[in-house]
Amino acid sequence: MNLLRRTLAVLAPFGLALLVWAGLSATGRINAFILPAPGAVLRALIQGLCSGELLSATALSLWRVGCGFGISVVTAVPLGIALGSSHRLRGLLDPLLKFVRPIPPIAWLPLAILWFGIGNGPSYFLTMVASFFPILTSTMTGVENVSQQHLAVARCFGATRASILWDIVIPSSLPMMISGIRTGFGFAWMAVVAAEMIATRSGLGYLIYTSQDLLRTDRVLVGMLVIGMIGLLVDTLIVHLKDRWIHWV
Amino acid sequence: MLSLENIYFKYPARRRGNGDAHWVLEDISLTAAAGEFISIIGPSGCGKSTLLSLISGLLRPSRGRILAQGREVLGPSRSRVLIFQGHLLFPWKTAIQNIEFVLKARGLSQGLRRRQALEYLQRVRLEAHADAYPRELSGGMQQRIGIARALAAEPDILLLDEPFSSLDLVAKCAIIDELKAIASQMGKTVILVTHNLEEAFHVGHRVYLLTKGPGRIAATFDPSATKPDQLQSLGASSEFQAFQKKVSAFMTDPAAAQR
Ligand SMILES: Nc1ncnc2c1ncn2[C@@H]1O[C@H](COP(=O)(O)OP(=O)(O)OP(=O)(O)O)[C@@H](O)[C@H]1O
Ligand SMILES: [Mg+2]
Repeated sequence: MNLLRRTLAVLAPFGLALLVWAGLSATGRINAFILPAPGAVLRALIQGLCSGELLSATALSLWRVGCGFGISVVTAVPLGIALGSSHRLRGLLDPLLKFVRPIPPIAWLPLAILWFGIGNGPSYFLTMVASFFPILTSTMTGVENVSQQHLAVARCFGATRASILWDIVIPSSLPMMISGIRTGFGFAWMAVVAAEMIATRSGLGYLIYTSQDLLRTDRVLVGMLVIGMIGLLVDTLIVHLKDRWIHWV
Repeated sequence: MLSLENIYFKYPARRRGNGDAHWVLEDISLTAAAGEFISIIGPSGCGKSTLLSLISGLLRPSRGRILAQGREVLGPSRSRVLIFQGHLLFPWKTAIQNIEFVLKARGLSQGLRRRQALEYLQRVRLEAHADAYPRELSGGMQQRIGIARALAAEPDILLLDEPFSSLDLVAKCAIIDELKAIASQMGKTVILVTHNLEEAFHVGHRVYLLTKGPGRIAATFDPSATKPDQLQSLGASSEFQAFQKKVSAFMTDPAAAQR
């Protein structure tokens, strides 16, 4: 019962948006090239699913984002911990990081194409750049804000450095780390679509881009729907994991 | 054996603003032998917590020396454990994990830790709450876990900063008796900072009274010769009433009381 009500609460806004969309199309005043009717998009979706084209594009995009985002998690988290715990290191690298951070990921694309050529390379690189800074910054902030008193307690008990890292620093900065990872994934997912539009011949970004050329607005919308859906799913998954891991608050 | 020799302390001045920080503690000397239970009382802000941090080694005195077991205190050590004001359990660890953390620092193997940790929890009668997180425990229960965690370090010197403030009288008496037994049987030194005069008088072999601004030892009392055994009935005893009167005289006007 409760589950049913929760599911309904999640679906209701989607239903409303769909209703508005269907209503607009039904007036017949809007050109189907500009906004195809829900039915047409559904047909394109089914067609894409049956031909396998949509699944393979989605799988490819997910793979690319997984690689770039994965690299970024395994590098940004340790670096963030190091920067968060050492004043000296932070002083040394902070200006450089502050300079690189505001460069939007998409601005790296021309360079990435020059470096890696057309193919998967630019996508890996762009998703990495996009997710690196949110993860780094929030890990760093989380570690900087570990309670000095908790650290004093740990030192008082003669805990080793490894134990302080593992038992104090990581658990108390974990909520910040996860929220950085969450933002990071969102950025990476946006970046992969951008990279695929320009630097590859496959994936969801490419599908949207080429569909526009072919005047297949229905397929453009199908691509966008899938992108939104996956973003929502991954975000829900991360929030779910966060609630499972951080059960002490 | 702990001895403080003419300790002075001030916190480092902030770079800008209130230029020269004043002394928080001035010329503090005291000794505590193994097996002794010392209490420290004084008005809020007189430097009691600071004094315990100095003894623990988390802070270093600006002048003077602190000796523990004959060696100068140069930094924190598991042999002198401080129970902070406001318990400070690790919220991401359960009661038993908080204690296991200390046993890990002592180098116990993983297999031994849980069993041993349970024994320490039993000492504060909280074995039933071993797997509860601090937020799921009452303030008094958290204080008892904090005490169990400190005992798990098996320190020579136990420093307690208002550790009983959220305990009811029964729980408090039980823990005080336990701590007194630990101190006398195992030859540990316990230093208790408290605002509660009954507690201070009841447990203390000696009671030091600090005054404020700068913190100095204004008076030393020696209740051990006279006090009755029960904390509950202390209020009625004439010795305690005399002690209480002297303390309040010092608190209101230290100079006059000195004469
Ligand atoms: N980290 C700090 N930096 C600067 N000054 C501090 C710091 N901690 C405490 N002080 C100052 O030192 C003095 C003594 O503080 P302390 O915490 O030792 O008092 P206390 O006797 O424990 O008080 P209470 O009974 O309220 O716990 C206070 O005047 C306080 O303002
Ligand atoms: Mg204090």
